[in-house]
Amino acid sequence: MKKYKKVPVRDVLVMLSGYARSRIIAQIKSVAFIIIYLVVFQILILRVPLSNAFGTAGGIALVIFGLAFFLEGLVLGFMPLGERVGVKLPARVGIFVISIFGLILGFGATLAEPAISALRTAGSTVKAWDSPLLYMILEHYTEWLVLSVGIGVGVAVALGMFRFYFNLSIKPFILVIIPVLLILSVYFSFDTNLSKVIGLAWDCGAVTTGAVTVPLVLALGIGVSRAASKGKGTTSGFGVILLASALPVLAVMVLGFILNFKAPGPVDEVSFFSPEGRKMALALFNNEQMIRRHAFTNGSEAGRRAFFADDKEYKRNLLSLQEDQNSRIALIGMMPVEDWIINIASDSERELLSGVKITGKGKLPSFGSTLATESVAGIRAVIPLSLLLVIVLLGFLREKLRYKDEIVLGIIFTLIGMTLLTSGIKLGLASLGGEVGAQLPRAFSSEEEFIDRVVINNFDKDLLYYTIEPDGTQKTYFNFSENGRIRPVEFHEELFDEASGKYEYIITRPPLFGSKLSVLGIILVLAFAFGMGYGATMAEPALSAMGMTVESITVGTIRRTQIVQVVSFGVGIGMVAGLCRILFDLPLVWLIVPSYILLIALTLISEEEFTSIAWDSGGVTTGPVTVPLVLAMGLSIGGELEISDGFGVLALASAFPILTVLLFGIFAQAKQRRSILSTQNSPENE
Amino acid sequence: MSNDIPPLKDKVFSPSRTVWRTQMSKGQYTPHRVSRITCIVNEFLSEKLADFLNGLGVIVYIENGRIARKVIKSRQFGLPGEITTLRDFPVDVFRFTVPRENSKDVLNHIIDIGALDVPGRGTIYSQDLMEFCKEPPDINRDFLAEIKCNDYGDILLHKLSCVVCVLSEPGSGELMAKTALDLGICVPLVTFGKGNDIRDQLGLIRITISAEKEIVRLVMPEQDSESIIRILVEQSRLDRPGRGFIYQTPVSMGLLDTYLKIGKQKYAASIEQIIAAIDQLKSGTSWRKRLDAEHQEKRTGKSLLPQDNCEISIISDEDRIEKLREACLKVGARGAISARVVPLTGKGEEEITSNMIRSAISVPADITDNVIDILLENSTIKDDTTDRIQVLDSPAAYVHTI
Repeated sequence: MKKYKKVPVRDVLVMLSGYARSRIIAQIKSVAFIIIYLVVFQILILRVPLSNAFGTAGGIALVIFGLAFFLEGLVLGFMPLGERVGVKLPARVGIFVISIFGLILGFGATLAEPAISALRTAGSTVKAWDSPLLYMILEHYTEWLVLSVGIGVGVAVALGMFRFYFNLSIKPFILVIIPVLLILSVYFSFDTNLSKVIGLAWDCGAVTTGAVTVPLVLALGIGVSRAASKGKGTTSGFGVILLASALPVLAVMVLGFILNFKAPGPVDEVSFFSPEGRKMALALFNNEQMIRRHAFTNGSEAGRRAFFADDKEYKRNLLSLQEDQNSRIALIGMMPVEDWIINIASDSERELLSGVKITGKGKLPSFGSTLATESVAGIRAVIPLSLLLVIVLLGFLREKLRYKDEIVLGIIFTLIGMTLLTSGIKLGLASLGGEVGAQLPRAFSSEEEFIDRVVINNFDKDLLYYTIEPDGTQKTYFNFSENGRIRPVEFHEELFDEASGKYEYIITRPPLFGSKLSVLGIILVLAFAFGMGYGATMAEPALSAMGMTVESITVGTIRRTQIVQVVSFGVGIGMVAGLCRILFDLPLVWLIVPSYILLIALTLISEEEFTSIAWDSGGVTTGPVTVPLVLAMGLSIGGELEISDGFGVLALASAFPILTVLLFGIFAQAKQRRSILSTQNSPENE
Repeated sequence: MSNDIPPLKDKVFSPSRTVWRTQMSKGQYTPHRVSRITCIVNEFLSEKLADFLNGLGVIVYIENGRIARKVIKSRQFGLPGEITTLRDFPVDVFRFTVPRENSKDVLNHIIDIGALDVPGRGTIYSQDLMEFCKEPPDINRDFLAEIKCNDYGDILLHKLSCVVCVLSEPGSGELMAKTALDLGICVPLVTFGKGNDIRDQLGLIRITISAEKEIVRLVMPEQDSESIIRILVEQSRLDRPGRGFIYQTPVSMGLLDTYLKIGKQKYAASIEQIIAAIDQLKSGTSWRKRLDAEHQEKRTGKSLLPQDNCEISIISDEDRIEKLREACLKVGARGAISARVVPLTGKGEEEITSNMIRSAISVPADITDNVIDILLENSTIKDDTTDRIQVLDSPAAYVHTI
């Protein structure tokens, strides 16, 4: 054991405070944009007050500390560990063993970071009758989905190691894999069932490379390429993330193709739920109860009516929602009944369920329980991977670790950071983003939004008065007084129950820009999407880690901040494109194929070095900060427009950063070349 | 190499010569008197240069770095005034050793290949030093003779010195580069390195100190170096603890990149071009002496300089370097800075790991002998062709001792 110099406690405190301060300030800077943006958007543009500001602020604080811990943990523990393993592997074992190791690592990383749950959230609005295959993959073959993604990532990492070992260029890989994916996508788009899987497949690719996997794989790649490359291989180490994003797309497409033989074709809602169509429905659901639940959670009134043989049965079931908990769970699962009434029920169903009191906000997740569940997820993501590395390094390669304490501390930091970060996002950032996202459809919605309902007892019709508009139409109003404030409310005859003397006053919020899908509204929504993509990506820890790596490898000629800015900008554009797909219901293929063809063209003229950095940045963008925010927004807008799923936004959000980084690279290289050539007056040119 | 010990003819005390004498008398390891050529070129030129050096049959160690130049632009939107910014260029630093008698010839060839006589194409310089390695340095002389090239003897500058600044504060390399450009010294080379010496003395609290160092190398006329070092020490606050250190090594000859500024040209020739022209006319840089030494001394106290030191560079595998560094620490040589280098072997007959590190350490003259002894004892230079230990005089150094 080495003896260390004793440092006085006071000095330790000074050193620690300086160290902590610089890390935290860096993270405050990285999240400042998205938070200020969301708050300003909500208060100034949507004019909705912040609810639960205190909890949100707490969550944001957690996010900042989480990011600081997480990044520091990566720098201290994970990345040196990964690099060390990468450097040592080629010296001891052949390429075959390295590839196997890569396979296990990639597969393990996918299982460890449960990004699949995010996809299930995105698929929660999938309608079984509309996209049976998609529903089947998400609900019945989840394990298969995870496995195929895992295999995709595993093969990708193995292939990446293979590439580093033999010092191959990344371009042939891009030029083979991406066109295959594009051709498959186009082929899929002609099949009604398969076309629904395209979005899922591309999103799988974007989501799988998580915040722990990316830095680890980067460090490992740098190590392997450093040890294996002969001669002048300077900026390798990148390129694995690209493969790890592309191959899962392929794997999921293959899975979809195989399962398509088992899946029924899409039908309309009524015939799906009707007793005659039960046979097909049972192919997708375990029992009739599940079909009924799907009718209630994802279907519309017509589907629910079709499910039950007669009207009486339908009404009885509907009314049982307001009774005991068991029948409610049987019908709508864990969804609170208020949410069901606000979001799903039709007007007539709302009327039937008028007895249910809407208490306003749903229950907020509690601080303690969130922290507990997230720490379990954090342990799952961090511990198995670090154990794998440590076992390989100590047991298999018989190497000593130089700064053991530092590495252990780093892994603990990563764990703490991961837990704080994800809980902070759940408690603060996602609720803030979700709130804004939920309000956003108002910007282009044509209908008034249902907020709440007040039942007025002993309604006296004598209080009504008439108004007249310039064209002569008359309306009936009454004055409604609440908390000492009086406001005129329009009277609707059909809401008044003569017998009981009750009037049901439905509170709504008017659309933001009048009653049409207005240009202004769309611009507003797209602007919001851009800002959110940009801001969330700036806070993404995997991108930060990658930026650091790029900076140190290029000796500072490409700065971390430059990479982060360029990538964030790309994600912003990608979000806009993704939202356009949702707003105008464009097929995903129309957006993906042209953008990737453009990417391939740019790849051909780019420098090797920038090509791999650019394609990798596509994979790192969609991490723990972006995904929840994007999903919250995509789902709320998709839900408003009754689009069947929220897939595709993530895929586009990871395609456009590649574009911006490639362009940035081409531009930077051209600038370099120009200033070199400008000095050159000799006839020969480079 | 002849084995006779040369008579004492040095007027100036030279630690490397002492090392040479000690090791020669011990007879176990043979020091070779060689020239180390350092060539800094833009990445675009690297391939061409690598091809040439391959043919020459020397082992080259390539390090990645960046150089900075000033960019002067008019303000945008027609606003009055100018903005001066720094622009970075990625460069490759080639280092290799050749027998002293060939160094000028090799320099000529490289200048010819890279057209380095045009400002902005690169910097090249040669330093005389002692080297320990497995095989005595040799080059493919036939290959060199085959290629015709001009003689650039008249534009090569002599009596230069290379000032190496090791900075611990992140981002301070940028500041130093700016200072160098403002003073019009040369195009600064910035590289990254790691120094773990202070960290290793501490417990887990070491995580608060970054191991990353920025190293700035400046080549300048020898007579200016002392006063410039003083300015740099003051500018970068190297007189405070934990900021870094600075040392100077002699350069026997070289050609500097004088393309310091990019952008609007106000005169028919830039001041750098004029200076280069006068340098050439006067065949030297002694006419440039300009800084008022007396005034400078007032500013930083003169006890700092000069300090007889010695730069020892070790090139070896990552793991072996660790062992050597620990050995150095035992005899009191601290402050080693390591950087990754990629070796490029000429003949390609041998597969070598590219996990190589070049570690430079600046040690006081009185312990140089001990350090070399312990390094040679622990090193594997008898077995590994790529491993090297180089000893270079460093007549001035500024190290803040805590």
